[in-house]
Amino acid sequence: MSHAIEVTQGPKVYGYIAEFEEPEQLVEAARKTAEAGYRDFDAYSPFPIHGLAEAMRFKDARVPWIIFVCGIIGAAVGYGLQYYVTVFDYPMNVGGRPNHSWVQYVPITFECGVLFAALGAVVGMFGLNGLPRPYHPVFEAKNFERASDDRFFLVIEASDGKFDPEGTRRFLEGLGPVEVNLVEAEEV
Amino acid sequence: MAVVQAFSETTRVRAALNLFGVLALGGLLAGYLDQPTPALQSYLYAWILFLVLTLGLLGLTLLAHVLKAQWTRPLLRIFEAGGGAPSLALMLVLFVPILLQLPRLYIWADPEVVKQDHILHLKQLYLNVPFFLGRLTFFFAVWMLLAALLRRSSLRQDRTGDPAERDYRTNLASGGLAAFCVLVTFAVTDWVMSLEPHWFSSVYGIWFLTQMAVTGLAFATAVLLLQANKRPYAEEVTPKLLKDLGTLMFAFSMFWAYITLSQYLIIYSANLPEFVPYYLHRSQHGWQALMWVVAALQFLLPFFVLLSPAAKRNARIVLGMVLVILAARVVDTFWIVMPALRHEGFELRWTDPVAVAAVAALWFSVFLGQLRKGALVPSYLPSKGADSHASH
Repeated sequence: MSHAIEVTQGPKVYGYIAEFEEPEQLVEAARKTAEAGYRDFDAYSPFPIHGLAEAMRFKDARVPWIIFVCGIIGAAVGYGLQYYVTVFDYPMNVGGRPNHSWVQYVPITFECGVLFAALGAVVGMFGLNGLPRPYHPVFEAKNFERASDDRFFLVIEASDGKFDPEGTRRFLEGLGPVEVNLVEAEEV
Repeated sequence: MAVVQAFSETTRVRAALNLFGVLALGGLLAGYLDQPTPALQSYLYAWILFLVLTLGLLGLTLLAHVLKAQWTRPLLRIFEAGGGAPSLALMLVLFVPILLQLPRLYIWADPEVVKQDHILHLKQLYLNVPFFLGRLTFFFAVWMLLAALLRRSSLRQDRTGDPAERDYRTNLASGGLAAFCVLVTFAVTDWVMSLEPHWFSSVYGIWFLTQMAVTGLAFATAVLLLQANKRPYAEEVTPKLLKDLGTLMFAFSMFWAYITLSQYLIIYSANLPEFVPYYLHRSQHGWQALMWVVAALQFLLPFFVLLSPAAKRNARIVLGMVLVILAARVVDTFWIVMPALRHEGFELRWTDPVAVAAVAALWFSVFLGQLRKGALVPSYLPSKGADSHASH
């Protein structure tokens, strides 16, 4: 299989993948890739690496906002449910207290806020990551199964504006990887 | 720009604080000669305010030696200086004027009142002056011994570098922390809860422990961040440390709200005549305004501001929040102590700020003196080897 021929055919390229032996090398490579102006790239590692997100200049703050909004909605639903039940649906005189005894509502309001926020965190994270996803082009890359064992990978994707088949390959080779390989795009 | 050493010149500041403290005490004495009981009330409030701070810092010292966490490193010497044996000795000495006039503040110490009150008569088995004095002595003896032993070992390790000192402190502080929590529960029952001797609450001890944790951490963080551009704190105040402190402040603030609401909710739900007067009195006659100020400053504002990870990494925002929390402590302690003594409704007397200023000046003088007695940041790491991998 000759990479060069496929690269010239253009649309079949997903990107280039570089393989590293140490987590520190991956962080350093991610930092240099971001500094070189690449945006569409991703790092793959068997475990979370401290400082990797910062090195990649990963600034997506959508999940915290989803959590916050879900928490507010949950608190409102929890309070609203109790208000509806104790004031409209089934009002009862409990020791002469007002039907709208808001102090009693606080624990359930809080718990509903926490519940909705936690669900928002899981669903939001899965949704934004496009999960569950049974197939990804990078699965076909050479040695990629070791991304869940003892190797660290960096992929620069062809969708990046700065992507240039030969230049990007040479750039990755300059980062000191074990090897650089082509990742073929999914057949559409 | 040359980096200045923090707290390098404190001799003159301490002399000024001592002078100011004595002058303020003199002013308070003038107030006492004019109207004894209100002046004593002001003084008791100021004493409890700084007792909570002192014990909070002692509790955090114990916690720091148990946890050996990275975030405790730049704060440990601040905890030790404010929660050490000299600060406790100061609080003990400052309690003497209250002891001399005990029946003016604690009605169970007044034989005339007890004679006509069946419940207080029965409670006399525990609430009597000699036993009260015995307990007071015991509490302070244990706290001061713990504080002194830990402080000595901590300073000794700075000189000798012997890592065995750390294990010694961890062992001592583990048992010490448990003893501390039990003793604080009994102590605040004696000194604060017994101001209203007909009322009782079993959450009271942990309620004060949360107040102590919040006060101590907010105070130590404020000291650290106000000196953050000076040596040796400049190298210590990193975004990671700020995030840790912001998260802890957020968590302690929530824990405070949880315990505070728990006590209220239980009493509200049960609605029993022997319990409700505590909150009935504190939610009218002007006291309710303090309640809302505390709810906003101690919980709502820090909660929503410190929710954001970016805010927790911002030194100015974290400093602003701990100052807001300290302001809330000043108001909250007033709301807890004063309604027990001033039955006519909310009232601020000129002796209140004077008493706080007097105790504050003397307390800060001892604090600064202790801070100068050792390196501001320990030379040893609190947890060698427990580096970034542990935080995954």
